[in-house]
Amino acid sequence: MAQEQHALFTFLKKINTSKVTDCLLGWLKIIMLSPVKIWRNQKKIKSLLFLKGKIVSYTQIYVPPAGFEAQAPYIVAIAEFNKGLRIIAQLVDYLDVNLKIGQKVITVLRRTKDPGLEGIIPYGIKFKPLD
Amino acid sequence: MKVGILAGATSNFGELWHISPRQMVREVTDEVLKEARLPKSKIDAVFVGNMLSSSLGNQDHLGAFFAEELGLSVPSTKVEAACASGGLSVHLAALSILSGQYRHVLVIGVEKMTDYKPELVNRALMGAGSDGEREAGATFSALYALIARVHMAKYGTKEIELAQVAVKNHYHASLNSHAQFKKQITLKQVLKSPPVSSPLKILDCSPITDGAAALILSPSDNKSQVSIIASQVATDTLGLSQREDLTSLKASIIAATNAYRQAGITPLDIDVAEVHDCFTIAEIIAMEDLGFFPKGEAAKNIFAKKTWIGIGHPVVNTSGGLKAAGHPVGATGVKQIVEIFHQLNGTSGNKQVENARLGLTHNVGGSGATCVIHILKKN
Repeated sequence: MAQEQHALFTFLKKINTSKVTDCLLGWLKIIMLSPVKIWRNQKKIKSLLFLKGKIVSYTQIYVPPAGFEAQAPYIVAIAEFNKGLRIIAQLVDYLDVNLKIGQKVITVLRRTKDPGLEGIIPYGIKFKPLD
Repeated sequence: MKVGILAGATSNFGELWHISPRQMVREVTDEVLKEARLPKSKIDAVFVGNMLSSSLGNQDHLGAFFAEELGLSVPSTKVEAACASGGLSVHLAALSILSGQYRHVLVIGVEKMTDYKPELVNRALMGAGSDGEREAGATFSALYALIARVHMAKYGTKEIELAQVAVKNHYHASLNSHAQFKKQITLKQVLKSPPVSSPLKILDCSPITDGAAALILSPSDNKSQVSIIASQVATDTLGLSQREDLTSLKASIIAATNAYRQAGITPLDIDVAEVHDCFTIAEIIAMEDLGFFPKGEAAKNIFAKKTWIGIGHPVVNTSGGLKAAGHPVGATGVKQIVEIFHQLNGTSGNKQVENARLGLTHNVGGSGATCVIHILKKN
């Protein structure tokens, strides 16, 4: 899919003469991921791994944003860790019994969303139940 | 503070596939110029409240875009503060008049959202969120669902009480000819509607909407029947997770406190209010943050119809709010002020609140990162 999008992007740049093309270019701009931004943001992940905390609130998302369609429905939670640090992330590997305020969790590394135009796979923090 | 409102107008709100943003803005501008009996040449500046023209519409020069459409060569500025873009554009327009720089300022709020598929709109709206929220796949319905879950746990707020907010605002919208949803709904329909982000269901959520609104502001004088007597803005963390308390919006509390002080009034003096009910839980926490009800008691009072037209005081969201009148994000803050302007002018037709003299608008950007409060008074 990424290769097809790239080929389409290159083609559209060559024939950039109509409003229709402008719309498509705008759409492609929206779905691109910046590899530099991912590289910069992923530097912080190491310090956030394997932290233990508790769920403060959670929700199950049925209507996702673009890039997350394949994962829906999924759980997003806010968890609190030492010194009042709060993080928002998805909860994975859970059972229904784990869906409660106060549930103990640990931060783990997981793929976050669908790869963008360059095919780079973004990774980030997610929560896993501890009990 | 005293800035006069000479005229206010809104377009129809809804899925306006047959109308372009240019046409929407031209129509509301023509309407306010006619109402104010002001030639276009008297407009000294334009402020445009808009959030998504860049990320969805591929238009990054919106001030000039609409100045061209209106045939104006005056300063024209896009103002962006997510869903508070409209309110902030009114704030800046009012300050520009108080500075003495301009005499007649046109404020436009506009958004075109339904040309795009929901996933793209959801992602564009999350441009107002934090990096962490985007990485988690959160949406704004999810962020307010996280707030709702904590409010329910802490104060015993029930899903049926959330649903009553939607029922009230659909009832009010049934009296509003410009509203997106003019159909009344029942508690049962809300509770049985499909989940969007638990515990919020589709009928707890404001819709995706096209729409525009416009105002003409001027120095307050005998010509204006209604004046802005307070305009305040406050900000908070971009992301929800950094907040100490998830059951209220600190920016709302700060902006409202400063606005009441500026106007020299208390919450009890407000007769009619338009509050930012992007989700049903948002109206409940707004009623508490604005001081209309004690913390934890708004849901029960709304359920008891204490903010309904013809029954309660203050009457809240006579337009139908974001929930039922619709939420074209950049237009919402301007539309709220147009609604209160008409209420205080006594021109709200069958949704008129009797003897309304003081009104308030509450416009929120993101999950509470920006809040704009305006207080209006009948002269």
